[in-house]
Amino acid sequence: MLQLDDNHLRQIQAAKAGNREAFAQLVRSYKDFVYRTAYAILHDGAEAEDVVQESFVKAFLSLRSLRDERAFPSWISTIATRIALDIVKRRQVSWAPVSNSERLPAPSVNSDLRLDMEAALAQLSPEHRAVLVLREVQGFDYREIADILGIPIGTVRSRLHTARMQLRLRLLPPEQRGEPQ
Amino acid sequence: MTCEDMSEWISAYVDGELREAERVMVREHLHHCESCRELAKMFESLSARIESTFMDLSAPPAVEAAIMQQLGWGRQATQGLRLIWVVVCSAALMMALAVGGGLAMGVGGCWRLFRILSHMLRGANLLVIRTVFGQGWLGLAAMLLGMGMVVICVVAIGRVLRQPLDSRLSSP
Ligand SMILES: [Zn+2]
Repeated sequence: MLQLDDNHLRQIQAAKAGNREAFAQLVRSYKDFVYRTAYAILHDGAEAEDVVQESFVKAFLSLRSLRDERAFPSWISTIATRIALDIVKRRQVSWAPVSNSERLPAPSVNSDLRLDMEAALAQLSPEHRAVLVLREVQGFDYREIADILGIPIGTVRSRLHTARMQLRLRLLPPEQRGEPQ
Repeated sequence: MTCEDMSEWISAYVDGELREAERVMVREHLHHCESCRELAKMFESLSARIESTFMDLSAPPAVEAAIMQQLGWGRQATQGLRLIWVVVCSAALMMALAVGGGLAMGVGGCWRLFRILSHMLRGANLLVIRTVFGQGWLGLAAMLLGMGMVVICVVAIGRVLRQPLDSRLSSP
């Protein structure tokens, strides 16, 4: 997870006071962090980019409501996760999920491994995927995930476990699953 | 507790999210149970794999400029603002020249007219007219007005020149 150092803290404070340069620096520091969350949930590069844009615009407009500057990473993650989950919900209502071939893939170094992982993640429900992404990609602890998604800690724990068990079945060959006898 | 019941605890154990008593219990079970140890190892490697899958992912570079654009700080927005200032400055400058020139001509014309009139009237009330217009009050007023316009222009041009500092934000 992205460490919040003193430099970031100063930038957040300055951005809160309306300093554009400081806010631009924050965007630069956190855009990849936000993009990963959005991409892992949405599995679509163009939509993930939209989420990054919308998240930062929203963040700037409501930055004053952020009391504790140290909470900035989980605060911006909350905004991005909610926007991404809204898109997933809208997708389910309005049309059938886009087929993999139509989606804009993210540029990637180890694309084979990623495609396997993305295909496996795509099989999870959005709720399970979001918990898993917040934990494994962003490194939030259970308390933070519970706050971001507005669910009890026990639910975070059980969803994370279910997601891992499902992913295991889809990703790993039987001998690597660590199957309980 | 069966191994299947243990599974969720082990997932939380790997995340370091158990209380001390629970942690001791799970550790005890793992010590005796080979298959649960395998499960714990699997959870760990799965976490590492998910993390490494997304860690090298970065947002497209254009996203920064797009955000600035949406906030109205983009290059285009800044240039629009500069254009407005240039138009305002030009208008103020033209007005200053027109008003200054017009007044100067008007005052000069009036003065000449009064000189001709006073010449014709020969002495009648000439002293009064000369006292009023001879001071050049109107000329002074025109000059002050012109100077005011020039000050406005200088301030406005100063603002135009400061704009490029802000526009640095929008450059990638
Ligand atoms: Zn066991």
